[in-house]
Amino acid sequence: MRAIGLAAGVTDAAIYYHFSSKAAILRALLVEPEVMPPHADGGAGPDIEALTEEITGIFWRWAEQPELWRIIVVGGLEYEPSTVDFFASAGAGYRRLVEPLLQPWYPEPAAIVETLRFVLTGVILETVLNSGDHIHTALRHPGYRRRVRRLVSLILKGGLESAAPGLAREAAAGARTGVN
Amino acid sequence: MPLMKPRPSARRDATRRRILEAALSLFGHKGFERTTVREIADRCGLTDAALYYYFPTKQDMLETLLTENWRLSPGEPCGRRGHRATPEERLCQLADAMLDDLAENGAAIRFLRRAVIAGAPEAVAHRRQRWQAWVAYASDYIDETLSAAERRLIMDAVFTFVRGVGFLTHAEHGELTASVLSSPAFRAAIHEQLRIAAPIHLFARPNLRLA
Repeated sequence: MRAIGLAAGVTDAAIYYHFSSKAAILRALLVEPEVMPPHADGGAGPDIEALTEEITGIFWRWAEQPELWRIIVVGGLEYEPSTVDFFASAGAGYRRLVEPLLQPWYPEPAAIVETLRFVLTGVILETVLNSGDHIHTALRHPGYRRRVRRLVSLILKGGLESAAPGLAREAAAGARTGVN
Repeated sequence: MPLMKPRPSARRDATRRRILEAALSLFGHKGFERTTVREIADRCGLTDAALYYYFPTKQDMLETLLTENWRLSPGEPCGRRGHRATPEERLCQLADAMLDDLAENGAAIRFLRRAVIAGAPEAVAHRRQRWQAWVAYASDYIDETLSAAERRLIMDAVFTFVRGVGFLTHAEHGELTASVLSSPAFRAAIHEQLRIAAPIHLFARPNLRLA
């Protein structure tokens, strides 16, 4: 716990005030946000923008406790046992949460969910490395939010190729305008 | 001047190198704070006293690791601009080069990241330098018919994706990370996901390429 406190830049007491044990901290991160199931509207392609909102929304809810990001990043880099367990459950939880969102439009969402997990983990890792003690400030920056949306939307468009090549080409125009 | 009888310098270099490798592997795996000098000595079969001869403190090893260029920059671009390679294949080559680097230098990279989080200024500078080297390396692999903004987006997507792959693979596989990252089946899955994460084909302009 002391190491966690040092890593997060707060005192042991402050950490214990919020959480009674290290396991409790990691459990807190596993709370799954509620997600509305999407309605497939028969035939038409996915509403990339709405799905992007949905998926980045899940990400922002995790981002409400960014000091915990630092703990899981340090734990992951050190292959620390309770963090290793955390990543296993978090990965399974993420698949359970996001696959149903994609299922109506992507017949095989597993690869897309895995890609989202890698990219969003990359974002978390980079935020912790770049922002040090200023993670809150970095997260509030509009440019940061735009970038996360852009990466997620790119994945949703990229994933269309395997599902429906025609739709992907339609989305290409959208991808190009989304760049700027 | 030390009065000690000089030892053959080749042997001394080899021992010094062995110590740094052991320190790097332990720091990368357990973190700097949790690694003891005794563990480093044990790993390279030396006594504490012998270790002290080379590095009086653990901090000295850390500084040496950070300042000596520990193969932390990308190698020469591989298969430079193969004529037949499509833009998608070029991106896969780029991701492969980055994953090879992660497989080979994983402990050093994790160690560097730990030092960055701990706020070591040398580590921050070193990481920036490394990042710039990779940006320069990557620009050869991204279709130059794309606009500057599109190239930036693709590069961001590839870098962020690979960063997440490296981190999660280690968090899930620990000491097996290097062999997982190098296995052909894993690479095949990564190439498929890279097509999703950085769908460069969505930006292709065939009419421009014919010109």
